[in-house]
Amino acid sequence: MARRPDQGRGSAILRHAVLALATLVFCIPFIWMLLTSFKSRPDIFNGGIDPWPRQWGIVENYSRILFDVPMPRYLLNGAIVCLGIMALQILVAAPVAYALAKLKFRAARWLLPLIVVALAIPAFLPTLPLYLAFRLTGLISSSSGAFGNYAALILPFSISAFGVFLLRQHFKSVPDELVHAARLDGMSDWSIVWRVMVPHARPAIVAFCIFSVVAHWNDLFWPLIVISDNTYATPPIGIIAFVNESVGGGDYGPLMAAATAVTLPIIAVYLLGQRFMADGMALMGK
Amino acid sequence: MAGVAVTNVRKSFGAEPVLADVSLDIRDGEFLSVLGPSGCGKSTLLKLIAGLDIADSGEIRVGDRVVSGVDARRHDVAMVFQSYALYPHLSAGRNIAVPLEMQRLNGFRRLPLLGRLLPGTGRIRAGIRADVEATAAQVRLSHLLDRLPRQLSGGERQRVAIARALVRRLSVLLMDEPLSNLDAQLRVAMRGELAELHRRTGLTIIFVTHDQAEAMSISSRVAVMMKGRLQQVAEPRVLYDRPDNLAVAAFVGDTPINLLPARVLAGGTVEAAGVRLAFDGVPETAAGLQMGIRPEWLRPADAAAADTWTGVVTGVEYFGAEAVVRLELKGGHSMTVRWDGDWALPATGKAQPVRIKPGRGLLFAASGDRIGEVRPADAGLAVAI
Repeated sequence: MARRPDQGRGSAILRHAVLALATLVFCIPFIWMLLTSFKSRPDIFNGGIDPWPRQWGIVENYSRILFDVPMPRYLLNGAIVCLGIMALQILVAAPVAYALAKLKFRAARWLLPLIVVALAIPAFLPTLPLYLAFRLTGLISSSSGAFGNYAALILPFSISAFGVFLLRQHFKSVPDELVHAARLDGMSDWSIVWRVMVPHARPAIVAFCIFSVVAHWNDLFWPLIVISDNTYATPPIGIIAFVNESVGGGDYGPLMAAATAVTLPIIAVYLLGQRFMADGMALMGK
Repeated sequence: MAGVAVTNVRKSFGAEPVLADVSLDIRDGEFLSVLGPSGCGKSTLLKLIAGLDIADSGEIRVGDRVVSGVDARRHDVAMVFQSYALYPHLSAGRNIAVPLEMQRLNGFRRLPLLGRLLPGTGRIRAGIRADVEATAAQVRLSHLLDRLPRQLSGGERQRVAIARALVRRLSVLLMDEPLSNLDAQLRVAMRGELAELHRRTGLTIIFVTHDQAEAMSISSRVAVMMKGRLQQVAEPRVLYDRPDNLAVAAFVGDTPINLLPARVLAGGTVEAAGVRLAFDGVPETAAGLQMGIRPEWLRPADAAAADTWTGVVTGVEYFGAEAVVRLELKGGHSMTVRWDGDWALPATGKAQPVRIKPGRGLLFAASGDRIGEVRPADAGLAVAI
């Protein structure tokens, strides 16, 4: 049905106005965070609610989080943990999803429902058994080093029921003939997973990676339980440590600078992924 | 070079038998079509030969190797799929290269980046590239190697799929309805190209199709399959002129064969809708017979006679080189006659007598099997009373 052009323009303006307003509402805390990280200490406490800094404190705030607190170290930890989790999740989920989607075996019938059940289990539920398991294996102890700490942070998340389920749905849409062709071309099941299935499901994998990185970058609960040494703290733990030791009641400038430093990588990951995701989606169209 | 031997192969999905005791010998260098309606088991047979599925029982040999139960990778047969099954994220050239990469590069050399650093990888890859280009030239693809499958037309994708199947220089090529996704004109052109390819390469080709014209026009032999059983394996000409049973007779041929109920009279004479033909080897007790007459075995007669069927013209379809004339005989039997394009077309509603060519005519028993032989041309002219 053709719409009158003026009617279309009017509703378009309305739509965009609503969207812009919503965007603003969601962005205000972040903008506030960013601007506060630019303000000097007196400005923060005396400046009223004027958002724009009158007395700049950029150098002072950011040099504190860069040099006085091991913020770069926390960010590095976060990157190691998130990339480790992501890589393991894909490494596990892709072959499992392939088996569930394309291979015929008797157990497949009850394995899939089990995975759906696993999806429904709250993340907090297995915390205690997991913690005990890590204690028993000795990976968590007062003396555990880099390996133990990173392992404790990464391993519990290496199997993602959500990842398996998501990839299985996408792998199912790969035509059987393509799998057959790959077999006749000499590919093993392992090769088929990485050379046929994964490229085919690239948009889904990118989306899953973003989801995974964002979730684990921001995760506070599990790291809080297993981190015994702040050298291996992830960014959220780093911020808590920072609040505890130096800010006490009032040093909001550096705190907001730290929060900004923690948020930026996430935004970067999202923007990067979004571009790839768009590419991937474009590939889907014939 | 190798032939393919299928012996007593059975396969069922659940309780449903898909292949019931199929035996088929495909000779080295032969172009054999497996022809049948959809769901007859022909694609399953092809999958078993390729190793993509496992037979319940029976044996399959490629050359002198038994391959039943062996991993598909070691069947050493190439296959072209109906949907072409190209890797959508790889260019045409890289699609063609995949079988060679899997064969010549080991797992380490195939690793991204790292594999290229291993000594010798570059040399092997250069060899692969040369072979890909040679194969691409064979199917006139050289200028399209950098395109992704989605940037290619149906016919071009088809050629990429064929090149990918040819690149390893295996001696057996399986094709599963490779032309059915092409438009009519392209299909006819590709038919010619396939026949030409077969002549040039001497490959053993097993070609699965549901299109009888396709099967008849390009194969050296055709295996007709229905409901999981081979009905007849023969050269196209034999299949057409002397089908083993009613089902084959009805499936093969552009215009359906005419069937008239028939009965045996004394002395080997068989009567169908008032016309008598002389047959040998028909038991006098046979009942429920049907006479099969291909539309082009009939030709118009000047006047009604004892050896002619006369029917009212109910329809005329003119195609240029030929026409199809439909008659309705007395007793409600309909009959289709292939008319030469040069002959005067009959008017609808008029009575038209037709006569069968000497030496033609098939007789089928109630079971559907062909029985008896029409008496040869000189003695077999319709018997006038």
